[in-house]
Amino acid sequence: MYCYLFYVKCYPNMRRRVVFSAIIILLLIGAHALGWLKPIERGALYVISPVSRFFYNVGISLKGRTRWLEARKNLEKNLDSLTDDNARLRQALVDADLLRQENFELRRLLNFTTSTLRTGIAAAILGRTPSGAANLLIADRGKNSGVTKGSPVVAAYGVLVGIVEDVQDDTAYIRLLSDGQSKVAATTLGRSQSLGIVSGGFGLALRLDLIPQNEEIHERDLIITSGLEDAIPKGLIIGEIEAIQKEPFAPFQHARVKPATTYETVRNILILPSLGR
Amino acid sequence: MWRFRSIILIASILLLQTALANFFSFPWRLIPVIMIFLIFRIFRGADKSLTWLIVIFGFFFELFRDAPFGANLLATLTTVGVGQWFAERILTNRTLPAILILALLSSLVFRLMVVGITLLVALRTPTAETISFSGVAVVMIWEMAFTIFGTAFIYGIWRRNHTVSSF
Repeated sequence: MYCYLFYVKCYPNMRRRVVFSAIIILLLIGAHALGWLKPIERGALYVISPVSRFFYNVGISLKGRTRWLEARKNLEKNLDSLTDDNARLRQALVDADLLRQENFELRRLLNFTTSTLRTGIAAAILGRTPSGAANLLIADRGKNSGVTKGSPVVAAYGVLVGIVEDVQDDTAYIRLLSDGQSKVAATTLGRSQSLGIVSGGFGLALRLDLIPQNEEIHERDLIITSGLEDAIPKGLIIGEIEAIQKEPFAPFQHARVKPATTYETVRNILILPSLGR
Repeated sequence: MWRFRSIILIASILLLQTALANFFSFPWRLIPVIMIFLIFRIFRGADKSLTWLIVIFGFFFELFRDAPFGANLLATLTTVGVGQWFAERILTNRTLPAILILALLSSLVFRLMVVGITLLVALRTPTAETISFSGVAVVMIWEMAFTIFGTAFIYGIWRRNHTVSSF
């Protein structure tokens, strides 16, 4: 005994089940669009969040241990590199201090008021989205705390980790820079214009693409946001150039970027208010 | 008693999926525990509970907003519908190749549906420019591989306790 579902031959039980499921799903979509599902969604997230946070924190501890073992192997190499970095950064600090003083004096002369001071919203990470296909983090602050879609998210010392993808009442979904769909305009420190686009790949790596062939870039150049997007301010640290890929006849060069922080182990973040223009 | 067992089983699967996503990096966090479980349910012979499983698991994914609301629910429904139709009409024997084909087909249908619905929604917004098709393809290949290995593994365990003739 057969029946037909969308002109496809099937069994009666199967048709009943599919039709019944479809009706429930359409009702759920409709209820969601009308906002009737909010209490259920909030309740479900309230139950899932502590579980997700537990697994996320255990995952970070485990990753920390394996990273420590790997780091031990390269201890000597890392020490040399860090000593060099330290010397370079001390010099940069002195230069920055001189520039800050000069800037302050010039602003005072021009009677210019500073308006760049912005406060962020501190949030903790509850975990990752379970489907795995997208590299999204769930933060414990949402619309009720003033979080808006498109806001940049920074970790310690102003390192950009991602952009707010979606906001609910008490949660925000952050697309990490290392996600395949992330794209941020970037430049190197000391350059006034945008240099290229930083994009992610499967949560594993960052790439700086669309760098014009005539631009001169070097390994270990610091990559920062260029401020080209409306919502993202200039100067948020992304990482440093690890390797450069330059083909003689290609219009653009590419660079592999080493992130300034490990996205896998971020526990606390600061969501900056979206600038908007 | 069976209700209590079902709740425990569903909770365990959801816990396992959450744990995998939080413990591991790419590609291991793509292991689709829920999809593997659903495929095995279809393979064993679907029952009334399948409707509720589709709704529960689909809704669980919807909570996390990595696709427009409804995309995961509709994709799960289509996958189970197509999978069940194949299991009842074409892949009727309970052998390893049959479950592997079912796994391949189901994971393909699921991901295509999710991507398709996301694209339909995203094409109306500026975010469509950022969708990486090569990225989607790589995710899809890994998911299919994990689904195939996962279902083969569960089939192996199940086969030790059951004989083909029991069907």
